[in-house]
Amino acid sequence: MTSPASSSEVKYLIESSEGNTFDVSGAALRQSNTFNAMFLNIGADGPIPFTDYNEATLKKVFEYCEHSVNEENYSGPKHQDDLSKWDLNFFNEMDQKMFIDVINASNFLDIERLTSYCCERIARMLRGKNTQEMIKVITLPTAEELEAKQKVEEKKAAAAKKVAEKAAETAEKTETLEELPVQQLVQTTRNKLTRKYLSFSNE
Amino acid sequence: MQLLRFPNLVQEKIFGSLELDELLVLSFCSNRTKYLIECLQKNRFRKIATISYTFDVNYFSVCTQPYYSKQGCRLMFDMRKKVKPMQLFGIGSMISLCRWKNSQYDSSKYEYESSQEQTTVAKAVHSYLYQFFGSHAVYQVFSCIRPPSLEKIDRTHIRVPENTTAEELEACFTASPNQEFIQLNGYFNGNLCPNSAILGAEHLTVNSGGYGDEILLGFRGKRLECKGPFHDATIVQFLNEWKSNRGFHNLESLIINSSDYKSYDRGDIIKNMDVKQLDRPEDILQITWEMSHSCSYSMFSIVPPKSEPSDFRSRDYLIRDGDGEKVSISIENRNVRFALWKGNSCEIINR
Repeated sequence: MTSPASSSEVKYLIESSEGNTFDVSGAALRQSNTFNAMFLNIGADGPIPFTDYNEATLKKVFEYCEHSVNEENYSGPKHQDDLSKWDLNFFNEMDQKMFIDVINASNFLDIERLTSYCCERIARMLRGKNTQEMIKVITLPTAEELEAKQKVEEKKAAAAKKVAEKAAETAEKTETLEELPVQQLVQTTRNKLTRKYLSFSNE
Repeated sequence: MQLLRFPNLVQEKIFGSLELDELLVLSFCSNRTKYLIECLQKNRFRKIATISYTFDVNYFSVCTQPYYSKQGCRLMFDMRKKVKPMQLFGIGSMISLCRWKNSQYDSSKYEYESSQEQTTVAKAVHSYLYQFFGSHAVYQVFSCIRPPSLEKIDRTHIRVPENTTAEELEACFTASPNQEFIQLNGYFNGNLCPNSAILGAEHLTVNSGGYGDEILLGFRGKRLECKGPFHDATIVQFLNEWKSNRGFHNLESLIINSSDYKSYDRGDIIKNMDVKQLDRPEDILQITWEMSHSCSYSMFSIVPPKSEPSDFRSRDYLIRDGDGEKVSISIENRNVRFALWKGNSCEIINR
């Protein structure tokens, strides 16, 4: 189980979104300012729930923390060229989805060093590119795609309008059909009454 | 990678890792991206002291100062015959090219189609940058041609081209009258439109080939420095109007340097004026102030100073009728100098 200890030997249990738990050393966990603010002084009875993130992401994040436990104190973002071989491998072996999850988890856990490296890595992806290339990196729709999307939406809107018009027409017809027997009834009644009146007056 | 879906803190760090010209390219991606950068980099943009536009015949450039890594950017705008259409700075036919570097400095280079006038492109670029970087920076223009009249410009230095008329020069200032500083040199002949916007500049420096009498008599700003000839009668008229409290109420200092043209007769100019002198003959008053100057020559330095000290020493002074305001005057050979005691730094020193 977990306890509020200062020793790096102490292990904490972390719970992921799947409900799985795994161990993380106190020293690694203390790189998270969120953990420091929430649990360091009061301790945690039972696993610490970081249930917005899956096990693979959290393990990746804490793998980084475990590795950087013995590194000197963080003093601002490093240039990508200054990253160690281990750091480069760490980033290179992640696919894009995992990378995004790691950034989000690292941001939530407020692990400054990891978040900064991730952001610098994204900045590097954008560096030296023109607008069209940047749009691809940040997954924004291009002008052509926006135009195509707008056309599709216009078509959809036109189709919806047609459907609505048809529905309105149908409703109008139904109303007429529903009104017809009543009118007929009124007319028939009126005819009968007229005939009765005439017969009375003849008598 | 959906940049816009990251938390703001992450977006801020990403933007913080990019240089200003890279952020500008990123801002063209979408209105939302542009807005996001403007919001999250506001504090960084506030550190930009000046944004300078330099105009020449076939190109113009923009440079921000101070220029440190990530804190400054330089943009070059070149004309080209045919450009692949792309919506940048709100103009369809401008294309951004990769940043190119040389040993001295690095810039982002943009190209615009030659069918578009430089004026149109410059106005669109300035309008975009003003909105993007904000209004806190000083926006200044330096030009070897007649520059486009841009809005919200604080400082302008024009090397007036040959055969420029007063009306053409005036047209450069219609969108931004009342500037903090204007400098005119080159082929400037001293002719300005009546009630010109140029004469409303707070600090005005002119290097005129012709007589500058109209400039002096029409000046409405605080500080004026003129190189060029003036008629003695104009100097007398100016001093009399000031002394009798009939004009030049904003004026704090004036320097006339006619070294290439003529010299002034002090006795003749002040003969009918009540010029006073400091009481003790060994005393002399040194009067000092800060005069704006053009940053054009130090465009690529890191933090160019916007002003430099001007001073002169004199025992002569005038007292204005009505409010008793005092002004030191010095008329020596080819120079006329005039500076109010109030608003300038005064120090009595022994001769």
